[in-house]
Amino acid sequence: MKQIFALFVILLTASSCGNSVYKEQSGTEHPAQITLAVSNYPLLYFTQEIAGDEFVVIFPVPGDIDPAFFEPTGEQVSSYQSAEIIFINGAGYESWIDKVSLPRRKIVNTTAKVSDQYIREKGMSHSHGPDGEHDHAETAFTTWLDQSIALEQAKLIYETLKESYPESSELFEANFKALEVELTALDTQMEKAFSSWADASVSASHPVYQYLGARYGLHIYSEHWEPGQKVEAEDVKTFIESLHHNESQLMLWEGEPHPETRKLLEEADVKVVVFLPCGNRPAEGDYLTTMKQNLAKLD
Amino acid sequence: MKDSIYLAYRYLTYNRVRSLVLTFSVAIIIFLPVGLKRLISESEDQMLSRANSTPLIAGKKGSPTDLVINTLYFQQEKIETLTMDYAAILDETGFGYSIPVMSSYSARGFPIVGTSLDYFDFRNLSPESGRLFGVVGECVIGFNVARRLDLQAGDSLISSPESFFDFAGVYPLKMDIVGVLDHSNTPDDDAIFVDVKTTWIIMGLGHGHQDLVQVYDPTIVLERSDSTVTAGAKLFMYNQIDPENLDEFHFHGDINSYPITSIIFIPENQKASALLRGRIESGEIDNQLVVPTLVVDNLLQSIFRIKQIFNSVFVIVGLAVSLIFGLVIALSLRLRKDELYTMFTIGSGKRKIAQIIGMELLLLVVISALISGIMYFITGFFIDEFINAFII
Repeated sequence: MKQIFALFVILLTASSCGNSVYKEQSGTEHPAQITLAVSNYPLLYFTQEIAGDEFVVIFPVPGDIDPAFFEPTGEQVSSYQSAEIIFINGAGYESWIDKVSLPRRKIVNTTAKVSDQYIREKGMSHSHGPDGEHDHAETAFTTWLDQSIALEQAKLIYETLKESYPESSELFEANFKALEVELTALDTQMEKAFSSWADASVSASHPVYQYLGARYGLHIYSEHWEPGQKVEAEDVKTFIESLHHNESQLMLWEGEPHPETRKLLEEADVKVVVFLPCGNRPAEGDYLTTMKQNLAKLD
Repeated sequence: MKDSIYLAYRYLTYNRVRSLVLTFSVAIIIFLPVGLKRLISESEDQMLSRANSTPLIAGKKGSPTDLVINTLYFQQEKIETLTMDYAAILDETGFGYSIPVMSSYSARGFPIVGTSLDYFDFRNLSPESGRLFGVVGECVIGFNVARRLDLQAGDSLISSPESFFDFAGVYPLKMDIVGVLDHSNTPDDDAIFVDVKTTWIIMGLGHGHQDLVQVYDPTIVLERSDSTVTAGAKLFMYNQIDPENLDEFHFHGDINSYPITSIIFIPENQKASALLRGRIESGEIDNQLVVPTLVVDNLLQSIFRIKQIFNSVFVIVGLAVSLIFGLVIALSLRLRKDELYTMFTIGSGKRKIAQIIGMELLLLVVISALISGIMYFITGFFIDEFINAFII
């Protein structure tokens, strides 16, 4: 009898272990049939909100890696290949996509319909061989910080899902409508929050706020300072001098700056705001709560 | 009866050379029409089945036959290329989806076919061993390529240069074989499949080299300014893509402007196919869109005409050989006059003699039929060679 009980316990444990992988992917205990894949956190959030719990949405980028600089392993490429639909951000965000093989037909560029709003930036030129000079021109890619573009991205996800799985179209529609209300409200809140900074000198620790600036009327000058790393006092001084002693000065950071850098900036009356772009999963909350927390810091 | 068969057999083996010549003459006359018929009908079936399973092919305006042959059989005739963005233009019509094909290069005599993973789903191809390609620089080889070159997953293949005299041209690319496809009995068995981006690297449109921003060797970096770095020919270019240097590989310009030889387009239904063809024929969308079945049908028409000519020739040759065969029998009977007389004098009746001669002829015909049967069976292995040599 004891042996039978022990066997039962082992089987029960094994079956629960098997389910745990699934639970992590879907957040439900239902064995979902359809797998969708995304390339960054905002797309993960939009897709999960629209598709609901019946679909597995995979986002194989580890939490400590910026998805824009992700280099997938063979296993991660395989997981993308096995998905039914792969939602990508586009605008050159997935630099890895030119180096891997994914089924073309499954890839949906969520910014394809707003490609006329892409912001181009010139990269470093180089020349070698008979091809002559060429540069690796870059497109700004944090498109979702413009909430009107984020809404377009969510809308394309909704339309794709509705067309691909018409049997669930009512669910998608209801979920999308709810998300649309949230994103539209967020857009209004952002517009209002940044309106008071329209005449200010706004700068950024990294060139990731181009779409935010374009949407909400900010002229953002970008440095290439890493959060957490100490910036030389001389560099901070040069930077402050470039602000032309504007009375109102705001600097957006992707992450918490080094304490000494923060101190130097604040001493020069520069308001330092950690505005998380949310490219990867936030430590707490979700996309909407993170964006609202970002806005709260502007007050 | 047994004795007649025995005597006939002994006679044929005694006159070996004459018997062999007669047997093979008859075997060839039996085999030629039926063998050719089989070659043509099976080639026709195979070609039509490949064409029928490919709904539409888009390519640059030019010979539709060259376009179809390049796309279906990977015969690398020089055809004009179109740009990759045309696949997106076709996709945007909403009538179906596109699969790009780039077939211009080869490795060890086998064509390198650049495409997307959708091709394998579309053709129902799956790996017999290994997996499909996952990153640029990887390749999947057809069943026959693996057998003939004795290759398997884990080995590598080097692309052949376009010209042996093009010393300053594109460097050959060493490709990692990650899988071998299952036998499909189609031209896919004789091809090397890579991602279309890998063919662009073979072409030199994409390449990997040391990061010029990080290189300070004056013999490599000739000039440097805030926005430009100029390197000399000493700059090391990678000829194999591996996890360590994958990050250094890049393409210059917009890859949507890169060349492909054709696009296989899979429409959602007949109506979508007709609408798309209508748009292209009206000039609303540039380039040509062909229905492979119609092109292959047209190609096979000329083969049918040749077949009819051959059939007429075979009838005439068959008649001539029958007459010669009759003449050989009549002459041999005359030569065997003394032998037949001896048989008669030792007690063999005319009927018995006729039976023995009849058995000789029957044995000849039966052995000839057997030989032609074997030849007919062997013919089945040469369908692909026949298609390559005489049809495409």
